[in-house]
Amino acid sequence: MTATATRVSVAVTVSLAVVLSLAASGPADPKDEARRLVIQNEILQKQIELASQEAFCLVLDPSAQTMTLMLKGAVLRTYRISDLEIGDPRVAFVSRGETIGWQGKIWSRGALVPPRDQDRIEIIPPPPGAADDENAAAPPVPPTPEERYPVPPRYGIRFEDGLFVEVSPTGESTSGGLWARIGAWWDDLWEVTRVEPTDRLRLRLHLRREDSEALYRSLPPDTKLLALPPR
Amino acid sequence: MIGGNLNAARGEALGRPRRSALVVSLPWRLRPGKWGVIAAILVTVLGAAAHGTGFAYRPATEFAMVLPSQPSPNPDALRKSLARLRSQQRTLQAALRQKSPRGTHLIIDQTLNRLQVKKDGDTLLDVRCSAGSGMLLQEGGGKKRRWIFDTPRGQFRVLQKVQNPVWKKPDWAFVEEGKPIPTDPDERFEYGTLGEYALHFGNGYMIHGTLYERLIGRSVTHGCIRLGKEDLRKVWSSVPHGTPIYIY
Repeated sequence: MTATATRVSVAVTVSLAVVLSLAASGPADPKDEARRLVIQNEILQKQIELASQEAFCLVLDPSAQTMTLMLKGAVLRTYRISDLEIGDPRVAFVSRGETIGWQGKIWSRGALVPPRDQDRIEIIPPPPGAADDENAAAPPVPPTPEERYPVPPRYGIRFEDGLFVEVSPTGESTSGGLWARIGAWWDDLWEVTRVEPTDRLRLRLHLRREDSEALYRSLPPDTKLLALPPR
Repeated sequence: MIGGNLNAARGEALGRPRRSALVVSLPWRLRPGKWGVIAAILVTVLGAAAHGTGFAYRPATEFAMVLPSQPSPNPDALRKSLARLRSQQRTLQAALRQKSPRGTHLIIDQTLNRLQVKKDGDTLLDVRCSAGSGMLLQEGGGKKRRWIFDTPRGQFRVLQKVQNPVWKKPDWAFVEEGKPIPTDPDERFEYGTLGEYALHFGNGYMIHGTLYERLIGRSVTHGCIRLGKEDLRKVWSSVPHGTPIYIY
């Protein structure tokens, strides 16, 4: 008798849960649907605008966990994101940042921090008449991309209007040792207490090491960024 | 405290003044106990403020986009609005698809020296190449011309496909070799240097072969893209005239 009662109560609970979940997943509120469509259409217009320009752009899609480098609508490379965090500047727990409106906005003039400086080698042409000299020095063999552009453990892309995207390899601590942590904390403290902070919002991306290094080495100058809203 | 007393007693025994005597002789206002409390409070407050100062990170999933508020329309108007928005979305999606390349196109990473042939989202070929060295060449004598050997970034197209190309050496090639610039144009032609094929993409830049295959994968060129013999054959056969080239 007790076993039958238990079975009945379990069946009733399961049925109730199914009914409730079906009710919850029913058709969305038409007003919300209209608002969602307005936003999606605005984003599509921004993507078309970007695809019509000559500029390189990064499209950050938190839902798909990807960041895609694009030019005129062509996908150049897709970087898979393992973790994405958003940081706003705070002074004594009071926010000074803008965590609203960063999605769906085109952020311009992205530049690497620290910059990827190219140390150009100057070719010294041999003096006239020495061209056929067999003892002339062979031209220098340029270094590999890995040798030429060492990737710092912590780097970022700073955009105009206050967005900073910090990039680090997945599963690796970017904070380093104690002194590095203190240094980073001091830098952040200095940054947020300025009268006009440079970074009003930070995104922290964790990429595969290969992607993280490739992004640093290959990111073109003056890249734009568009962050898509979650779907 | 016991340790302190023992130390004080030891100091007394050795003829040194007791530390506790110094504390007792100070006025009440300056007793370290009070200053200690004030310092502790200050340190706690400043520490808490410093702890709450900096960048506070939260997972991106917490940030949904804020939906714009709109006045409540009547159901009929809302239905019409939804239909219009859906239709607009289809149009925009089609316009965006139009922007992306259709058919075969080339993607070149000129820093990492990679060339990909893509078609409708599939990667048909992914090979090593060589792009511009980024070196500088300064002309001697009175002219003082200067060249930078970079591969240009941007969107280009295959403008011309040439089999058994002949290289018409520009001035910098003679300057680099320390040779006088010829006055006879015929002296500029060089045969076999560019490999079996060349695909011109504008301003004298080409995708071509090389005599120095061991350097493929390094940035060694004067701005052109060099490929190994076999890879160049594959690119030549899969890339028609007019194919878009994206270099980043």
